[in-house]
Amino acid sequence: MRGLYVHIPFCVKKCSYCDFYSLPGRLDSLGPYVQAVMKESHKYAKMSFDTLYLGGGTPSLLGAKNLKLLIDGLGVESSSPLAGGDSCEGVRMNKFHSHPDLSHQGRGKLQNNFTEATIEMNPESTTPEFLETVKETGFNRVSIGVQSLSDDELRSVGRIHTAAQAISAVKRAQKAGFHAVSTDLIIGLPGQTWKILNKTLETLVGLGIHHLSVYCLSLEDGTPLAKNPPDNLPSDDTQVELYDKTRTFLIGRGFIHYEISNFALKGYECKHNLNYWHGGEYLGLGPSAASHLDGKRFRNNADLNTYLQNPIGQIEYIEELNAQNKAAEEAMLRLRLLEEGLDTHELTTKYGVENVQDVISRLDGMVCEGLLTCENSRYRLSPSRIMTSNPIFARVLLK
Amino acid sequence: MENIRNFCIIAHIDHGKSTLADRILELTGVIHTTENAQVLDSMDLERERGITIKAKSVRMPYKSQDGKEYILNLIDTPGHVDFNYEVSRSLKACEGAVLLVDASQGVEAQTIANAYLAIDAGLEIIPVINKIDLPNAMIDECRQQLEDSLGLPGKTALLVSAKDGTGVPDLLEAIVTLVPPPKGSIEEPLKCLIFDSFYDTYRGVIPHIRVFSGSLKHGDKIMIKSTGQIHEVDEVGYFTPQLTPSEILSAGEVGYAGAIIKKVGSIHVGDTIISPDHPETEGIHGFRHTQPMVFCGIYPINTNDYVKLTAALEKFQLNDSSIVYEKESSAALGWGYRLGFMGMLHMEITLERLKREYGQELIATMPSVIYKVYTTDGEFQLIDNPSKFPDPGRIDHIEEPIVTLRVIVPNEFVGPIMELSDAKRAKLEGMEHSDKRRALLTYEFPLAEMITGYYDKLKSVSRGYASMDYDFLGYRSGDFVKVDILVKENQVDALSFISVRETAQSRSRVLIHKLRKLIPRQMFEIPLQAAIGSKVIAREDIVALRKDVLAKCYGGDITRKRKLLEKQAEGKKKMKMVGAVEVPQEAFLLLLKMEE
Repeated sequence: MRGLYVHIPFCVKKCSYCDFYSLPGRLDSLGPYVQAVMKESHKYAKMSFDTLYLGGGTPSLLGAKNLKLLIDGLGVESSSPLAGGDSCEGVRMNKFHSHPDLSHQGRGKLQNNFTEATIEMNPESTTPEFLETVKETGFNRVSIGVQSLSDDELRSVGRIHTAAQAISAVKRAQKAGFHAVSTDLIIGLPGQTWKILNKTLETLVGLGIHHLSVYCLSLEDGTPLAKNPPDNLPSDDTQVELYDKTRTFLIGRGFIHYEISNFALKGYECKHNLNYWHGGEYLGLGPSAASHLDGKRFRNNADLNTYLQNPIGQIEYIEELNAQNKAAEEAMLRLRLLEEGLDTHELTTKYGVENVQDVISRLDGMVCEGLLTCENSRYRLSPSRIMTSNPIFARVLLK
Repeated sequence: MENIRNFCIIAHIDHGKSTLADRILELTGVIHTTENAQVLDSMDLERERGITIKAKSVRMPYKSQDGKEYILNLIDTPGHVDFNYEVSRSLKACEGAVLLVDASQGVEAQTIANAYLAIDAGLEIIPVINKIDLPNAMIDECRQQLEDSLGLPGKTALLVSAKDGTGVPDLLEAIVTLVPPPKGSIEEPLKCLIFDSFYDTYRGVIPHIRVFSGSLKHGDKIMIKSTGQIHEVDEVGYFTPQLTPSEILSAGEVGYAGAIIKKVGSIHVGDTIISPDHPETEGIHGFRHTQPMVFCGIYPINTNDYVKLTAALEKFQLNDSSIVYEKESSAALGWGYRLGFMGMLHMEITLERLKREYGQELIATMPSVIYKVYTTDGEFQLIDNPSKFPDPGRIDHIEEPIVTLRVIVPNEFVGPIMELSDAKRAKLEGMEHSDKRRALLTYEFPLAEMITGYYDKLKSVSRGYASMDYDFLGYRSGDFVKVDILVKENQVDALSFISVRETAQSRSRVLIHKLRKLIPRQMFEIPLQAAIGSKVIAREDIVALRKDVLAKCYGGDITRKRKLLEKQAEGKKKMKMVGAVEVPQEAFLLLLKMEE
């Protein structure tokens, strides 16, 4: 299992809480950016991938033409055999860019080469035309940045769409017939109460979404929200209460709380993200994108201008952990998976007894304290500890 | 012997003792002009604080104005309030004392204390008024104070500026004229006073001695009077100020005697060296084993540094045999040592030196005095660590050490000083006006109250003008309780403290409140309690941590996420575990600062 992530670092406007690498007012660079990503992808031309994720920023700002160009130009191949019967057309997606014939054959379509291909969209740019292109290019999953269905809440953090726009975006996506529609939701927005949040949840679930990512608002250093936090920000205690109620609500509606921040109907879990928590391999393209290949974690510079000039020379940080630290990291990641949990048999097989025994004894200590549960060799985070999981994960990593 | 003069310089802190010593050394040609300021204070800390920590002595040749040749032995004395006994031993080695008074400050508390010690030792006292070059010199007032406070001939006091050398030649003349030559016979059996010692890596403990009778040379056998130990002398000599070997040390002389004494604890200041041939020789009067008065626990911040701390202390004690230490373990802090000091200044200086000279990061716990705890079975125990107090049910009564404290303070600060002292349970014994400007307050003062920041406060309420001196008076019973601190039902031994019953609750409330602010919220509720026995007298709760979660993981930047968690994990490592509760190091320093 290997994932491909492509970062689209463009926004119409930055939201006040956002500390991701994304630039407002640079839409003129979209065309050159697509070319740069294609160029970077050629560096990994021999690599194959199972999932694709276009994240941002705002990938829906690409527009139909750039999206097609990007998908057409990605110099990588998917690893799964064609699911559709339609010949070998898309299998070797532009693997050799110098072969115009092949590139022509794959033009503008992912085909069914990826088992999952997700694109993030913002409600205001989820137009019927763009959705059509998304469908055409082969995406089978869309993730819509709804965040809230209260106009007051949306405005309070500088979102540029309304609740009505968000609802119609979800409806359009549903209608377009993707395998899965996901939405993002933020808990703890200024002025948020359970009454408002409950209504948002009711509406979204009522619309038939398959997947929901739920994040707690956090004040990240350097963001406008952190610099000037509004008076009506819900307290930590309120956030926890809202989170607990959200969890109860969604489980009541048949959702599985499969990861700390993610809920899905059975079979609709996001494979691309699961791969992160499984400690799997992935390649990230674009400024600030992170990768995990061949045991190494690395990251591109968060600088659009240098990226446009030299997309293949942007790796700013490489880290290669020893087996012991790697095992501890994977244990920490897998504990985020609330249902699946961490199987220490598997971990031992992968890293060797000598590299996992310390981690396991730390885990056992935390089972005794009621922070984790353990069934046979499977450890899970106790649901009551989700909101205070950082200190637990810190102890998993503690040498 | 007729041409030997043994003398010391005594003064209040900062009155110019070390500078005067420098001038005298220059005049006698022992050192060249200001090549080395304050020769006798070699430690950085001594120079910084203006305190002589280690005593030293120097032998100087001197040709008087009438052409006679003399040998002058200047014996330095430790200059801080915690070392009265050591000062008294140094004085015992002399026949005369130069009493130095700062012309701009006048007679201060340590001037008086030291003058009394010199009078007790029967020394010829030469009053000297120093710093006469200062524009605010009050020479007449100083003369008056010398007469009124000490009954010394103020009118004939010599006027000196140690800084520019004015009057120093006259002082040297006065020393040879006024200080009597040593008495004692070279024919009589050996008798030497040990007034200091230092440690040499190769030659072991080397005592500084004053020979009172007999003589000492290479190959002689010597006996330590108090222990009966016998050693063979392998070298004798004097300080010039470097060690300079000589053939012989005879009655009246001052120098050192090396005898390969490896064990630090075997030589005590004040003890007498005699000849094994004459074991009946009497010891020099006034010898006692010094007892530390103030104790505190010290623990390495990083538990792994324990071995380093042990090595540092061993080395440290070689140069300061007045500190005592023993292993101690605290449930909260792990392995450490309990250190005993002569007083709070000695403690401060030692901790500072340990940190500086040995590069040790330390947690020092609340200082404690030695309590006499009488149990119901009629026995008593000496207890220097609150956590070792017997069960309250077994205690009959408790006594605490009391000191006599003398404070000299300008009249306008008498009010605030009295207020401060009252709050510290001090009993005013007397108030005198040695002059129009200042008062001398004498207190019976609980040592326990003095070691928790009294000196600093005294200085601050008097804007630095008050001076103090103290000596041990005795034990006095009082109504004491031991207060235990419980963190989530676990008693934290290192935070226990002894308090007068009356103020136990208010002190506990302050402490508990500070602890609540210092201990971070954790995954469970943490009750903080202060208790006397099983009775809780103060309580606050730290509510459980509600939210600490990394929700977002965007584009798979696992490294960043892991780094954040690792940082958190590093922070945990620096915490001390009390049961399941992580307690930051600072909590253990709290009690020290509780009074502030």
